[in-house]
Amino acid sequence: MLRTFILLCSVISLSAQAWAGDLIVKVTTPDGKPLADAVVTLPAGPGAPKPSFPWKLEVAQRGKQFEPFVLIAPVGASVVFPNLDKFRHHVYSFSKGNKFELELFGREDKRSVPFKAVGVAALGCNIHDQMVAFIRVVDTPWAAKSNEAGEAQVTGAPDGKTKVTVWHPYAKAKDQMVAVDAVIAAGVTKLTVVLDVSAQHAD
Amino acid sequence: MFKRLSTELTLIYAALFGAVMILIAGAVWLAVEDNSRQAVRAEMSASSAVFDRLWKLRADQLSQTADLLARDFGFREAVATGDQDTMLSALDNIQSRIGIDTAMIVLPDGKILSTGTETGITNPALVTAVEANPEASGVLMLQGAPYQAVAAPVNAPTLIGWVIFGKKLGGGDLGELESLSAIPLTAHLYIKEGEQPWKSADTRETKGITVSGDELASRAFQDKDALLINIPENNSIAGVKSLQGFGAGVTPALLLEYSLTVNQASHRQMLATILGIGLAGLLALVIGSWFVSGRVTGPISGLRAAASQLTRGEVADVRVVGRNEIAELASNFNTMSQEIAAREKRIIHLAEHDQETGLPNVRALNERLAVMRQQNDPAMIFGAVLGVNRFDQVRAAIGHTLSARLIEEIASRISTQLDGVLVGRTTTDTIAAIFVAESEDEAMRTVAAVIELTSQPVRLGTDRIDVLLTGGLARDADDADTRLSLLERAEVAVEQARTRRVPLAGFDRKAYGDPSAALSLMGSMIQGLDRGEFFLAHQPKFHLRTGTIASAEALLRWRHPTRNMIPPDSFIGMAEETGHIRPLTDWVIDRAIADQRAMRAAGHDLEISVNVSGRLIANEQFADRALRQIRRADARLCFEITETAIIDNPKLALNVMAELRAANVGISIDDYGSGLSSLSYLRAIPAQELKIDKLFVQNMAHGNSDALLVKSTIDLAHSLGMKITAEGVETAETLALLQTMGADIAQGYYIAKPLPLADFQAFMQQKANTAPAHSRAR
Repeated sequence: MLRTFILLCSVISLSAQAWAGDLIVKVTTPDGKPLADAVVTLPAGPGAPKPSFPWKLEVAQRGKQFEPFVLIAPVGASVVFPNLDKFRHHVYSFSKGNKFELELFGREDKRSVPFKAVGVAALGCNIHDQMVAFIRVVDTPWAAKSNEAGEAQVTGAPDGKTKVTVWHPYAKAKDQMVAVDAVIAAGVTKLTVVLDVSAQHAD
Repeated sequence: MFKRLSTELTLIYAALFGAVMILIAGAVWLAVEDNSRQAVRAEMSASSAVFDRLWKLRADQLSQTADLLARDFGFREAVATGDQDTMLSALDNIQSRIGIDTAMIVLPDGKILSTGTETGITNPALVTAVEANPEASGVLMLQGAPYQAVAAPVNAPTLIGWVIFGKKLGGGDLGELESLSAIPLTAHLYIKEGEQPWKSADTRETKGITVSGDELASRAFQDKDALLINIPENNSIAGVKSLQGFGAGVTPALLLEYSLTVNQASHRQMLATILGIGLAGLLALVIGSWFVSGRVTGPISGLRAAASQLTRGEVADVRVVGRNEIAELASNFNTMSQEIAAREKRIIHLAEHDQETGLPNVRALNERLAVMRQQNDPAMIFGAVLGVNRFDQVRAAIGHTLSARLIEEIASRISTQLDGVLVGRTTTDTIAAIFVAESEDEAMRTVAAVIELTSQPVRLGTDRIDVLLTGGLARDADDADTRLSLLERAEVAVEQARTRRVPLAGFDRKAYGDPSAALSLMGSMIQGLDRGEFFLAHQPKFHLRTGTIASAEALLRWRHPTRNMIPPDSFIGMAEETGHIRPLTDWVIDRAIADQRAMRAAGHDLEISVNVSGRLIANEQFADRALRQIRRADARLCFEITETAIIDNPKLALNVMAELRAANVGISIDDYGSGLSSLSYLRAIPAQELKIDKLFVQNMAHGNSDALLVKSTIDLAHSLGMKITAEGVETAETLALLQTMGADIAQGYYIAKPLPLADFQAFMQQKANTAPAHSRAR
């Protein structure tokens, strides 16, 4: 089902561009370990389609944790914050442009918040300090999150020269992101990006 | 080293005591030092623990407050949104509420937002510190002042900054710590920033340590689990407690300085007490040991004095005090002294007394003599020795014990005679006494009286023993050059008396001669025989009836190479005693035979008389040899013997004489009248000739009695069939008188003195040429 969807998207992108290819970025730490939850984005050039992702725009609270840890959301989209725990959560973000506060009383309390500013919204729970999550608000359709193997696949990216940006919430870099130049070719382009993360994220 | 033992003992004891006291004082000092150090250490440990608690309490307080602030939603919102006014008001609020000295917010870019002067300053070191430990706690230097600071991270939800609260250090906090300590101590805070030197962070005055921080650090030493620093400049000791720095690069240390002055004051007091006790003890010891050693050495001194007394031969007596070892020693010493005295007395007694009889011995007598010499003229001191005759036989008969009692008895009798005179035993059979007499005659009379009164039979048990004494007398002043002592001379006199068969005799120097010279004489005599130093001198014998020289007496002459002519009297007697008379007589016989042969050759056939000792006449070997020689040479000899010669062994002597007679050897009785002229022997001896002693012949002209004796002797000889020869004819008157008396032969200087062979031959030749010889003889 998902595959069919991706295929469909590819077809769409193909139709939009004369050329298009897939970019697979492997994100690792300096010691070669695969780094998950890194967000790879390519700039949305002129004529780029409105971003739309196949994953649910939702950050659930389950077992005093946010799920997922990192969510890529298109700018302007609303993200749902379902409380799956039996107790209260007080989800907030002081991130610039995306400041909000949600007091989620009890189970199944589902409310959504629109994220209007491109950037990062750090989510916390005022009740449970250990609950942290990040929403990467993007304005490009070419964005992907690295999996457990550290691989993030961006499909249907326009060929040619481009700048690949890799962000991670705990990356030791300015704004927690690095940008590398890359050339997207037809087919699959592979790229490896090394990203150092602070110890906070070691676990 | 010391003259007095007590001084030495006292000094040794005092030195030992002093040494012990010094050791004790040293040990006490060390113990006290150690004790105080331990006390200091313990107190420091306690103070340190208190400080730890204080420190932690305050840190916790700060930390809790900081944490509370950092978690406040509004505050976080203010920080996250950069709402400075809100942040500062929140800090201000907190600061005034809990009384902290500084409160600040540090942003990740190092920017500081503070209620104090820190605002706007970027402090990257601070960021480094809090980045390394978001909840850092410790000493933080802010603009040169130390703070106890804590940090708390502000998470929204990611880290967006830190809240830091600080409380100033080095002031009241140290005072608080000091006041909490049980011992008076001073707290100091030292901080080292990076490579900079240690610096005091003490803000209070008059608490300073003049020594630099680095110098202190170099002095630190580990003492068990404590790190200590000696600060002699302050007379103190300090414990070091290291504090945590707020982040790397700051090393704070807390010094808890403890002054030893107070402690030492009490120590000095204690040492002074010990010193006082020590001095008092020393004084007591010196007095005590002086007293005790005096008690010990006092008796020892007494013993020493007594010992030197004993050495000088005095009887020493030490006073015995108490019952200790020294008293025992003194008592033993006294016993020893007394025993030595007793033993000495016994030894002296033994030395001066005869063991058998207990009578004084020669030594005692000689000592008495020495005493008497000091009080008397030596010319009046006489020594008398009384010999018990035949004592050997008596002793053989009655045994030693009884014979000793006999001597005792005799001595006791003599003592009775000589009142107050020391009577002693000088040899086995002699008793001696030394006494004073006016003259020799008086002395002789005294001794003679003693002999007479003592010579009474002694009754010993059942035995009755006849006592016969022979006395000898010597005068102390006389004959000192004989090398004999007074008593020895008296003993010799006893022998002389016995020889002369008289009961008492004075020492006869002449008869005694020179025995020591005689001893060496015999050796040279034998040598002299070999060397031809001897020759015979022949004295012609004038036959009154024929008016011819028909015989001669051969007399032995010794011409000693150095002593010239030695008279026969001086060696014949010795030769008889020593047995040398035999070879001497052999030689005389051989020589006489040879001389006779020479005379015969010259035409003079003379009978030659030789003197033969009475000791030889009974000697058969001698007689055999003489006869052999005589027979071989067909010699005509006559043996002149004294009648006493046959006394010892009359039977053998008479046999020998008979043998001689058979061999036609003449026998002549020599020196008749001078000795014991026994008629029985005169009858027994087969002699043809009797020679009247020259004493009678020489005195004939002076007195009738001698002339009568000579006449009667001549008659006696003739009646016994013997010819009579008169010796010592020195005058014509004597010769004429003898002729009228009917004497047969005359011999003497009037006829001729003894002549060596050559002279004799010449004399005979002259005699033959002139006749009648007797009328012209000179």
